[in-house]
Parts: sequence; C-alpha cells; structure tokens
Amino acid sequence: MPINFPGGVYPPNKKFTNKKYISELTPAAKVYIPVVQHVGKPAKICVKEGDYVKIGALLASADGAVSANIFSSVSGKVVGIENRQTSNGEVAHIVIENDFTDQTEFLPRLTNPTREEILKRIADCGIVGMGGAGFPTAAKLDVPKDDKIDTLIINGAECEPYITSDHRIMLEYPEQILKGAKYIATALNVSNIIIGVEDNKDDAIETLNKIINLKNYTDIKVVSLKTKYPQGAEKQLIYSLTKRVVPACELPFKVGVVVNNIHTALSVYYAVWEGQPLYRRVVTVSGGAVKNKGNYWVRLGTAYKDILNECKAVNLHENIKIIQDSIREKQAQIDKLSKSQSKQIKQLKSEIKNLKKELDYIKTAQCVMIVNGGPMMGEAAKSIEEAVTATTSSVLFLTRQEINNISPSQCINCRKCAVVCPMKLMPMFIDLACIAGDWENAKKYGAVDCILCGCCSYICPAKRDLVSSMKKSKRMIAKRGI
Amino acid sequence: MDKLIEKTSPFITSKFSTRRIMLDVIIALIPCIIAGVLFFGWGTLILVAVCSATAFISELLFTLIKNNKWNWEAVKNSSATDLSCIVTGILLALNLPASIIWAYDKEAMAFVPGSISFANIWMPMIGAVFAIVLVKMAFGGIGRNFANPALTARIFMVIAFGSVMGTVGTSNIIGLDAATSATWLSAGRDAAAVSSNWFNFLIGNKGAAAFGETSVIAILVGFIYLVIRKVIDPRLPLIIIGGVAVFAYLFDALPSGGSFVDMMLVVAGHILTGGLMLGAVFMATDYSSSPNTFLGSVIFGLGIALLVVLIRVFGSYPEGVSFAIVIMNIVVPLIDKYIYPRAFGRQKAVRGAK
Repeated sequence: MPINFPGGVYPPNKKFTNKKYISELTPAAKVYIPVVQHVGKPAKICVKEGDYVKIGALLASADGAVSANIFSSVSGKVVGIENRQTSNGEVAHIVIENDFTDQTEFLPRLTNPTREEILKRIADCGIVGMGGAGFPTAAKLDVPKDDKIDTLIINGAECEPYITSDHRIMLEYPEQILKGAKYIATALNVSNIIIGVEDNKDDAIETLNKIINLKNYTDIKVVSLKTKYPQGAEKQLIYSLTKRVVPACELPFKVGVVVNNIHTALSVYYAVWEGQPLYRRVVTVSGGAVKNKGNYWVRLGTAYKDILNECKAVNLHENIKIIQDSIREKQAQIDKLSKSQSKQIKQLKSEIKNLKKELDYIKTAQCVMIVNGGPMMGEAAKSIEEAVTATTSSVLFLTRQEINNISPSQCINCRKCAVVCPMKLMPMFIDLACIAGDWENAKKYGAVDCILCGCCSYICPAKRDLVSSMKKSKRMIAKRGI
Repeated sequence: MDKLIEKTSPFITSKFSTRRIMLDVIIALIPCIIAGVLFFGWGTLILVAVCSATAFISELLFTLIKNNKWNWEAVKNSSATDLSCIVTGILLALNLPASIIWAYDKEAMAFVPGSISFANIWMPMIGAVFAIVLVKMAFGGIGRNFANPALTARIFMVIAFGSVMGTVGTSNIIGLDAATSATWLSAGRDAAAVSSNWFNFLIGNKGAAAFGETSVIAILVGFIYLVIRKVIDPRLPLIIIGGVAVFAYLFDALPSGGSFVDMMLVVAGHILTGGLMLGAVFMATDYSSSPNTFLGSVIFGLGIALLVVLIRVFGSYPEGVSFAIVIMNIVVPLIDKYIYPRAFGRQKAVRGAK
C-alpha cells in the first residue's frame, strides 16, 4: 500500500531537469546578499563598505535565538549596503564585488564531534531549513527538554513540479546526506532516522539504500512515499511516515519528531566535516523561458538576471524589436512599389507573414514571471534584480503559456477545494468570509490552520484565488487577535 | 524584458473548469433524453430544446440588463456561457410530462400520444424563466441558489398548471407494448405489477409523470459517467436510494404484509418508478443546494428518503421526490452551519507508540 495522507492533488510533474548533473554556475561579478534569508529577526551587519571579505567570511551575525549568521559567497570588496525590494518587502543587502580569486576562510574540520559541538557548528555556519521555510536549524534542533524526540525525518519528498535539486543531491551526494543526517541525529540524541522520498524518484531511493547497505547504517531507513502534492509538507509528511498527527498551532517536536530537508542535511555535513558555512546551494533553474535548464551550485546572493545570463534564458525583447522593425520596413517597401510589380509584393507579403509567425512564437516563449520556489507555493519575484537566498530551491522563468491566466468566476460550491485540502479546511467558506470581512467565520472554517499549499486554488474550476484569501484572513485574524 | 506578472501562488492550475463540469452533466443527461425520445416520441426533444433555449436566453438577458452593457464582450462574459443554464433547462424539460407537447383531443377528453402541438409550449417557457430568473439569478446566480432551480420550477408548474402536469401517457416509437399508462405509484403500488413488468420498469417503457425519469438504465449510465468524471460524489445518491429502500420497507411493505418476495417487490417498485433515480442522481447532487460534508450528506439524503416515502405512502400526491428534495434543500444551510470538518490536527492528537 502506498504511504499516503488524506487530500492532496496531482499536478503535472514537469521535472525537466531530473537527468541534469549538478554543475557550478559561474559566479556573478556582483552579489547582493540579503540579511534576511530565514524566518526570524534580520541578522546584524558586521562589515562596512570597503572591507575585503573572503568566501565564508561573516557578514552579519545572528540577532537572538531565532536568527542566523550570513556569510560572504564570493571573495572581494564590499561596495555597499543598500535596501532593495524583495517579495518580502524591503531588506538590507550587502553588495560585494567579486574579484574571482575565490579565496576561502573556512572553519576547521570536526572529526569526532559531540552533541554540543555539532549544535554550535550549525549555529556558527548559519544553517537554515533549505526546503523553503528557512527556519534556523540550530533553533529547530534545540528542542525543549521535556519533549522527547524519538524520530528524525529527512524530507526528500520534493513534491512541487519542476524542482529537482533535492533529487539530484540524493543521487550525487548520497554519502554526504547520510553523514549529515547522522550529525543531526547526534545533535538530537535520536537513533531512528527516516528518509521519505516520493516514488517518482526511485533511483534516489536505490542510491541511498546502496550506501546504507555498504556502510551498514542500521538506524537509517528510506521510505518510498506516494507521489502526490503536498507530500513534502511537514505535517502531512509526519502523518504519512509515522501516522502521528501534529496538533494545530504546534511544532512537530510535540509528537516526538523533527523534520529536516535533504539539502539541510547536506549543508550540515559541509559545515561539520568541511567547515563550510552556508554560502552556496543547489538551485534548479527551469521553466519554458530558459534554454539551459539544469541544477546548479549557485552562490547565495546571485541576482536572477545573472542566472538568466548564464543559463541563456530566452529573453527575446530585443529580437522582438528587430523583427517588428523589419516588418515595418517591408510594409514600407510594399507601399512604395507600384501595383505592376505584383510578384515582388507577393514575395514581401509572404516574408511578412513568416516574420509575424516568428514573432508570435517568440512572444509565447518570453518570460513573464520569475518564481522563487515551485509553482505551487513559490513566490513571484517583483523584479529580475532579486537575489537567490538560502531558501531558493529553484528559480523558474515561466512563459505565458505555463502559468494560469484565466480570470476567476463565481464559486459554484462544488467543494472540490474542501476534498483536496490536506488540512481538512473549507476554503470556499473562508473565501466567502474573507470577501465579506467576516474574520470570525474565516477562523471557524480553519483559516489559521492553512499551510498555503495551494491545492484549493489548483483544483478550483472557477479559478478563484483562494490562497490570497487565506493569506489575507490569516493576516487579519492575527492582527485583530480573534 | 516586459513587466513581470505578480500574483499569489499557485501559478499553475488544473484543467477543471465550470464549463467543463456543466458539459459533463449535459453529456450524462443525453441517455435520459434518448430514452425520452424512444418511449414518448420526438416531441420530448422539442421540449428539451425549448426549455434550454429559454433558460439560456433568460440568463443572458438577466446579466445584460443587470450590468447594462450591450455589446459582444458583455455577451461573452455573461455567466450564461458557463452552460449551467442549459443544464437547468434540460433538467426542467426532463421533469415535464411528455403530454405537454401533445395535441388535446376535446372529444376523447385526452391527449393524443405522439402527436405534436405547440398549444401548451408557453408553459415550459414560463417554467424555465421562473427557474433561471427567480430561483437562480435573483439569489446571486450559480452557486448561490437555495434550492434546485429545475425542481422548484417543476413544483411551481405542478401547482400552476395542475391539469396538464398531472397527465401520464406513453407513446413509444420503437413499437414495444407499454407496461401501463398510469404510473405504478398512482395505481396502487402492488407487488404483482412489479414482478410482471420488471423489464419494462428497468428500461423505462412505462407511464411516467416526467419523461426524463422513465428509464432507470439511462439514468444509471449518466450516473456512472458523472462518477468517473468526478463531477459528483457517488455516496449521496446511494444514501438516498438506500434510505428509500429502508423506509419503503418499513412504511409500505411491512404494513401491507404479504410474503417476503412480495415485500421486496414493493421496495423495488419504489426504487424503480417515479422520479427517485433522476432526483437522487441529478437533482439532489446539485452543488449549491446540497451539504458540504459527508455527515451532512447523510442527514440530507436520509431526510429526502424519509420525506419521499412519507409523501408516497401517506400523502395526497402519488409522488413526492421533488417536494422532498426542495424541502431538504432549504434545510441545507442549517446543516452546514453546525456540521463542518475539524482541521487536521484539531482532532484528538495521536501520539504513536514508543
């Protein structure tokens, strides 16, 4: 029987890049490192303009328990600290000019670390949850004493369409992941590790099992999960793997579980064994507007425009202009010719027709949306200037054809949203309550429990924007303290 | 680069659409229409066309008048284009007696089966306008109607045009001998009539007060199609039909006595005749006028079943499916107010074995 949870949807897979080996993306000439790459307080900046920094140099230090250190991802000179727009509002960015010498400043290797050493190293290296939430790992592993943890889950579900970074990591760095998972387990003092992987990544399960058998890791188990969205959502994953239900508004350690992402485990390995702080991550670059789709090691702070340049994205604005000009030119030629030269006119007209066809094709291949994360839960970037952070598992350059652009119509009450909701909410009623401004009813139907997975909006036949209603309801309920 | 589109996730969506769902319902209704033509003549097809056209035009006009925009763009954006009004129109037609389009023979004091006369055609047109304008659009259009528009219109017509709506007759164009011209429910509900006519009851070669309800087989084909296409939840029709079986056994078969086989035949008669099948599959499952939870559906379905049997056995009407469904439609907001699911994690927490 497939391991499963109630609700959920089956969006198209679209894993175009699952056969592409992870390669290094050439670092950009300038990186823009935001001081907020995590949930919690922004880090305090501890460099100033003109400072020379190496890879791994501390740029901003954690401010409080729920915060994380920020490190330089290139070697070079700090040329400025500026506020830039991101999808989370205005954030201070440290701009570093790359000198391409790639000098590093790493910490020493911990050969046989104790629990405290690992926790300290994770905090020192600024490791955060790399699946998308960005919760500081050190804070996550520092569980209250009276909550006994018995299971560590490593989340390799990767249920979003397009994204393949975790899949490739499992195939190419299996040993490192398993060692990283063991470090986390040591830090938590648990001896039961479950790695959950969706069954559309059978090769990853095989690879991990091979290493486990080879090294005789008896405490690690790889479990194949049913391919279904949102299998990788924390509460759903815990339910699928252990049948434990995390109480509402509580964290997983209440039921004795801690969940970490595959990439987090890899970063923990690099932090402990190689002494590398979090300065780069694997990012899937995909979408119809990119020519060189693939999985890349990307330095944190690389702007989307630099990724676009490197991956030869089909940014065809200039081509459109050229074609439009040539169409105009040919039209002028036709106007100049007299009617007797019908043969030439005919030829010119057919040329114009072909050019228009090409123009239409190019327009469909043009990027109209940049998504940080997957198409179900990701965030649309406000501009191409935004930069990759620790939580960017993929950057998608989507064309008009790939995204939903049907305008919403009236709710027909079909309750498909309630059927697919993995949290068993009633999205259609929350939507109605949100429109009416009736926040008490929105809470009654579970707006606060919403995990914003987007299943309801995905399935809605009326194409209603249920998720933004959920977000608004959550915000208003929190604001009014209902 | 052009300006980037900014919106909330998700950025992809399924292929489901309101129009697709409504088209599926229309496809599911085609077997019923074919059965109507086979057993009641070509006139039924005219009824279907008249009702759906009237429904479409009245919804289109309603939206145009409401928005006061009179151009092609407004017509394209009208909610009439989502085809739900066509579904209402077809359902209303299926709920009418075929005799509404038959010529009336004054000397014989009866309708002439199979003949076509447009004398009464204004009645279904008024019914369709009533369904769309008063029951559906006046309450806010699709998804907001408190009761099933087609059924409400049928009840309105039963009360307003009683002499025409009550008539029953058959006129099959395939040359089979009809079972009866009166319905089983109005003719005493006896077991012998079921055992001698079970095949006719199944295929629909029998008298029916609404030509769409005649063929159980045709309705079942539509039901299976709807379930495969995931348009309806199969549990609600099954609850209603199962409930009718139980209540018919308790209130009709048991008091009238007889052998066990006879009792079962009476129960079978309750299920196979009348508007139960059509009502359970196509009417009670109307999205906006049925409960949103499974528990709510159980209450709703059993309520319909109980009312159907009570009206059939103790009421003055031989058939009560439309009344039962509309009465329970009105109860639905109350059911939904008190029954709603608990969010995942709000139930009793389960902590696994250690």
